[in-house]
This record gives sequence, C-alpha cells and structure tokens, in this order.
Amino acid sequence: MTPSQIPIIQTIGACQEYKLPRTSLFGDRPVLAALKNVDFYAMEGESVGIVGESGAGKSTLTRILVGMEKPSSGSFKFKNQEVWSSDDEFKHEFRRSVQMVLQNPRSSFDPRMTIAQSLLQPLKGLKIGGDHQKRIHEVLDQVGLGVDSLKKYPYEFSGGQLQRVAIARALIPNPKVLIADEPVSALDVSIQAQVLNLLNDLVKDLNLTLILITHDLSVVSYVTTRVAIMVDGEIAEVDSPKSLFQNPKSMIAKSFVDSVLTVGKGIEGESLF
Amino acid sequence: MSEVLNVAKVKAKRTRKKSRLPLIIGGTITGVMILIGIISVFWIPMDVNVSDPSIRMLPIGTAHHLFGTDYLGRDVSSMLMTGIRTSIIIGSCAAFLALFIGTILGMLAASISKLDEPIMRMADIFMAMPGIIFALVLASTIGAGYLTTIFALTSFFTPAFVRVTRASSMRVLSEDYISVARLYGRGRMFITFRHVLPNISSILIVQFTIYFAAGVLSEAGLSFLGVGINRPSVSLGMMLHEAVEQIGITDPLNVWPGLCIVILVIGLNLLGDGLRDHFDPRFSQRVR
Amino acid sequence: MENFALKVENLVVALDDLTAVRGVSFTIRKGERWGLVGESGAGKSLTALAIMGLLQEGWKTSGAVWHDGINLLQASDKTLSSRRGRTMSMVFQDPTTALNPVAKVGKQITWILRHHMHVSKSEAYAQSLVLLNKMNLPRPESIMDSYPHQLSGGQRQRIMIAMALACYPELIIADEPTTALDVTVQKQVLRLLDAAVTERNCGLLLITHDLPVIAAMCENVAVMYGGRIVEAGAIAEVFTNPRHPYTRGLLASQPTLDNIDLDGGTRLPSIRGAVPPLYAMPEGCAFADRCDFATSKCKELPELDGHTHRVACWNPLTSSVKGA
Repeated sequence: MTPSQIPIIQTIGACQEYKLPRTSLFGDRPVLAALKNVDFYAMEGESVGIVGESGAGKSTLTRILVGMEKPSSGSFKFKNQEVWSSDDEFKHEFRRSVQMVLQNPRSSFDPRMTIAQSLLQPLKGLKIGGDHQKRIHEVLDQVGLGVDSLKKYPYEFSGGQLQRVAIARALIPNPKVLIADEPVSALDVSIQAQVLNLLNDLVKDLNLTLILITHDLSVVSYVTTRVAIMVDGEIAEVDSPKSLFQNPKSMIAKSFVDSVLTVGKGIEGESLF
Repeated sequence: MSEVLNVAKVKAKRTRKKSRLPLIIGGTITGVMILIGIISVFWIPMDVNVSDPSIRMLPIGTAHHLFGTDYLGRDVSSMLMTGIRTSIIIGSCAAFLALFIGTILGMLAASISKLDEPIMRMADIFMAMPGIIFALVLASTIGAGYLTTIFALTSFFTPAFVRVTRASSMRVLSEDYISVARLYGRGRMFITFRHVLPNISSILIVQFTIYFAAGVLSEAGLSFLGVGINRPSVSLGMMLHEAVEQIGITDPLNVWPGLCIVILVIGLNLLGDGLRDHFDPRFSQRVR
Repeated sequence: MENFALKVENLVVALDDLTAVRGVSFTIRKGERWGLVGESGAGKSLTALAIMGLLQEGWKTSGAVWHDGINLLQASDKTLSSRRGRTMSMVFQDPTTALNPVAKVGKQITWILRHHMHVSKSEAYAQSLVLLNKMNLPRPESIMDSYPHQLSGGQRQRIMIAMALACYPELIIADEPTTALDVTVQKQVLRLLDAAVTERNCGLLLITHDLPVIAAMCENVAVMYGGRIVEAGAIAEVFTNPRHPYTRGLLASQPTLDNIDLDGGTRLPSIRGAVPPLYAMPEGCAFADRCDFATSKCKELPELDGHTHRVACWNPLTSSVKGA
C-alpha cells in the first residue's frame, strides 16, 4: 500500500472484555464482551461516522481509538504503528495527534477553572512549547469565539458555546484526528446546526480526520462520507450514508433507517403534505 | 425537566444577595466568640482557679463580677471566657484534624480502588464505637484533659469526613474533565490536588463548620460527664458539671455556660448554612 | 357541556421575579392532537406541569386552565387528584424515574384502575392485562409481576402509556415521551401511542423539541419561544408555510435525509445566536436579536394574531417561503 492508502488510525480484530462483579464465590468472574473482533479504520482527511444504540459498543471503541483503553486483544494502530507497544516518543506523538470532543460540554470542563486555564491544560500536560497565548487565541478564532471568553467560567456559557470551547481545546495540540463523541446530542436543534457546520469547516480547512460517533443517522449524513453501524459489539455494516439509506443490508441498519422520522413524513413513511 | 432546574439555579444565583443573612449573622456570632476566646488568653478579670470564699455566691451584676461568682468564690465571667476559649479550641482542633485525616483517606479511597474497601471498613469500625465509651476508656488510661478529648472527638468525627470526601471525590472523578486531564498525561497527584480538591472544597468547608459545632457540643457532653476537661482547665461543659453540684445553691450557674454553648453552636451552624448557599450555585456543575 | 378537552387562558408561570411562561393560550378540542414544540428554555415543560398541577414549591401561576368544568389552577388538591389519571393523564420523559421502583408493575397499574374507576381487584387485574396486550407487550402476566428495573426502557414507557390510557382520559399530555428511548424503539412506541389515542379518541398534547415527531403524530402545532407561543395552527399549514422567522429557522435547521446526494460537508442552515436566559429576557420580541427580519417595531411585544394560522410577529413571512 502506498502511504496515502494506509489508514491514519485503525483497529484490526479489536476485542474488549470487561470483568463483571462476582456472582459466585468460586470460579471465574463473568465477562462482558463489549467489542468483538472490530475492524475499523479512517483515512487521513476522511470523515467517518460510527452509529449505534447505547450498549452497541461505540463508547468502548471510542475509548480505544483515543487511547484511553487498551484492547484486550487485537491491534490498534496509528500511522500504521502499534500504539500500545510503541516507545514513549511515539506514544507522546499519538497523544497530541488524536483529540476528543465529548457529549456533555458542562462535564468537560473543570467548573473552577477559567476558560483560559482550561485551554492551557493541553499545552501544559502534553508539554507543548511555543507561544501558548498565541495558540490559544488562534483556536478561539478558529471556532468563532472572542478573546473575552478567556476570563469567563464555564457556567457563563450556553451549551452550544461551551461545545465550541471544547472543540477549540481539542484543536490546541494541532491534532490529525478529531474524535467527536455525540458532540451535538445535548444541544438544541438550531444550535446543533452551528456546531455541525463548524466541524465541517474545520475538517476542510485543517485537513482533519473526523470520527463522529452518534445515534442520530441524519446528523451523520451531514458530516460524514462513510458510516459504520455497530450492534452488540460488532460492526454490522459500513457504507456511505446515501447507500445506507437507499439500500440497508443488515437488520440493524434497516431498523436504524426505518426509525428515522423527517418532517413531512408520517409514522409509516407516508407523505403528510 | 432541565429548564426547571435551570431556572431554579438561576434564581438561587440571584437571591444569593437577598439571603446573605445566615452568613452575616453566623459569621458575626462566631467571630465574636472567637474574639472572646482570643482575649481570654491575654486577660481575664480574675484567675479561674483561685477560690475566695469571702466573695462566694455573688449575684450577677455585682461590681467586678459581671456574672457573679460561684459557691467557691470563683468569678463566673472569667470562667465563661476561658470556657469559650477551650470549647473553641477543642471543637476546631477536632474538626480540623478529622478534616485533614478524613480528606486524605477519602480521596485515597476514591482514587485507588484497592484502598477503597480497607479504608471504608476501617471507617465503619470507628463509627461503630460508641463515642462516650471510647472517651471513657481513654480518660481512664491516658487521663482526661485537652489531648484526650481532642483525640476522642477526632476519631469520632473522622469516619464522617472520610465518607463525605469519598462520595464527593467519586462524583468529581466521574466527570469528563478528569478523563480529559488523564488524556493530557496528568498524573494522579495533579488530578487529586488540582482538580478534585478544589471542587470538593466547598463541601469540606461546610462540613468543617458542622463538625466544629458538633465538637463544641460533644466536648460539653464529655466534660459534663467528667471524662473531658477537668480543673485546672476550664470548659463550658465542665462548668455545667460543676453547676450540677450547685443546684439549689446558686441556680443561674448552669444558665450561662449553656447559653454560651447554644449561641456558639447556632452561630457556627448559620455560618455553615451561609457558606453552603454562597458556594452552591456558582460552582455547581448543573448551573444553567 | 363544553366541547373542549383543555382550554388554557393566558397562563403565566413564574418563580419569584423570573417569569418562565408569559401568557400562553390555546384550546384543545376533544380528540384533537396538538404538539407543543420549542427548544430548551422555551417553557413547554413548565406549561405541562402547570396544567397538571405538578409544579414544585415556590412556583406561582396565574391565568386559567379549564378542564372538565373546573379551573385546574385554582382547584383544591382533592379536585385535582380526582382528575389526574382519570380525565387527564401524563406520560413523562424518563420512564425510569416515573415508575415507582419498589412496587411491582401490576400493583401500579391496578392501583389507578381501582382508585379512579372503583373496580374490584380481579377486574382491575383483567383490565390491566388487556391494556398491556394493547401495548404489544408479550407475556403480560409476567410483566405485571415484575419490578420496573427488570424491564427495558421501551417496555417501561409502554407501561406508562398504558397507565395513562387506563381510565379513558379526555386528554393525554406526553412530555418528550420518546427522547430517553433508544432510537430504534422510538418509532414503535410512537406507533402505539398513535393507535391508542385514535382508538380512544382522546385529546393529545405532545410536548417535544423534536419536529419530525410532532409532524408524524399531531395535526396542530404551537411553537413556543421565550415563554410564549409565537406561532400556532394546523401542521400542514405551519410546517409548509411558516410565518414566524423562528419557525422557519427551526424547520430549516433539521438535518433531513432528502439531501444526501451531497456526500458530507454540506452547510446546514442554523439560527445564529442563542436563546436569551430567563433573567435577561428582552422587553419586546424575545427572538428579535437572532432575527434577520427584525425592525425597530420589534421592541414591542407582538401578540398572537390571526384565525386558524396564528403568529406573533410584526414582520411575519409571506407564504411564498417554504419551510420544510
């Protein structure tokens, strides 16, 4: 494969198991298989979606992709190199290159720190040099927030604005991959559009790889070009949003497509007006 | 129902200005009491342990003896001042030590899962011991006094602090910004002291005032029973203990120390409430 | 005898000096289905709670809510209790917290039947089984014998709907009934609610921020913003020819699947700005600072105007602009 054909981030045969609390005094503890043999990848500059219900395994896959958890078996590669068995320098590069935005912006920030302090955290923790203040100003500009945000505390922001700050924070280390876990689920619909547009713009302007995790199929169709549908810890189907809608193959894809309601269509899909 | 919560929190934020009263009243009372205690270190009208039968049982309002004297001729106002000082010292020391030990143990239990069970079970053991019996045992082995009382009270209060700290720490540790900090390579120490501790500090401060008050009350109880402070030290509880022997002879003697205890405890409780209201909406996670 | 299931007249809901609902009026005739749509902070949940008399301590209401011959806002607890669950019932958003966790499901359903309809234990049990069957719940006997935590979210929500329907109410108020459910289960539950409401010919007040759900379930809609209704009318009218700029913006910002020709990276129209916080609500129209059509007149509060398609706006959009 030529370098441009190697995925920037991927899992091969990844499995994840969690030990559950004891149910009997002797014998092994029961095991929950959260991920079963998952092959997932994203190319550089691509926007990929991961769709699934709660319990499907998307959060587990997300934690593996961002390096929070090590898969119990299988491989996890960044730039075609195993992450967990690499040297410290590579691990460090990985940490800076893969960043995450979470669902609940309120929970993503220490309520006792100003935005300025929160934005300094990646710079300090990941030991990034250079002009910190300049970098902070740059990312705020990229997400369309003013410098007056720096002195404020999280509680002074609305949900949508705080999510922008979260995106700004994720951009600070100049990442190559941005993983957004349900980034708009906690926001009002008219604000969702603002944040989705922002993500689209950033992907274009910065050549970011975006991995968007959500349970909302219509959101995914606006931002991504390829979608993986998960159920029961496995990837059931991968396709472009368009093909997925016109021709869902797996059961779960069918029920997802079926569950989407749009204004103008009734419950049985009949045209309303 | 989030909008209901939102509005309630916003309301709390705005009415903060209106109901600062508990904070002000509580703060003032506590402040005055502490001041009295401080003054008593440098000056009291009369030595509390010198008995002078010639001036015994003087009523309140007598010249030089504002609150009168007891049946041995000791000046009541001096005893009150000293007693307040003792109660404050014991209450605050016990609360502070319990806070210190409890916070460390609680944060450890919350962040290191292997330590969680052992620490909590130890806390359970200490909670299961009846405080008075423990104080009695200590009094009979080490002897009653300042240190014994503080020791007894600290071991009595610490488990509560461990629980509160552990619960709040766990809540903080489950927040997303902790995961984010870990992803930025922050170690346990940083997360504990720069993220967890500031976010539980308001709860701890309130707890401190509560146990300060509890310390004052408990000391009074222990000394009343004779296993706390004894002469030559003077405490409000000890005064109550002596007042028992003087019922029928000089009745009002039990009123003044009792009143002091009540005022001090009310002051501390109001202060605690006021502080809690002050901290709550501003840094609560759920505001807006 | 009135011919409406619910008539709300100038409902105001406030907490001290913060007014969250500022004068809401609408009528639901028997068998009609109304959607109350709005984003967070619009006041829709509080409106529902005020109607049901479920507001927490400290909240004050004014205006009138007419139902079954009485003004619910001024009714005694006893009068309210006799209506709640019987002539008017509610389906809440979170089925986990809406059901009593320490009582078996059967007990919770039969209690309603016995309390309101005064039937015997065995009769109540039988009716409960019928209800659960209608909700497409398999093995209703074992469900009656289960605790809520032993059932899935979808099952719990269906039980809540069954409980809401038990006494053939005139009106069901459903507050975000499917928001907390898994996406694949939502449609099923909506279908059930739809069928049940049709069969019993009850009125339905469906409260949600989810526009497609309202479009699928209701014939009429009231759009709320900043504590007031800004547009109301038949959905076929309002959603195809929205006259209030907020309604139009809301409809336009829904990600639809009709445009998935474009492979990712399209701009989704959004409404700039954010909802003003309750303690900083502007004097006039609350939407003015986010509105592309605002004029100086908008500093004055517009009233709901019109006949069947009402709008509260000084510069309503003309019908040539399509929304959906």
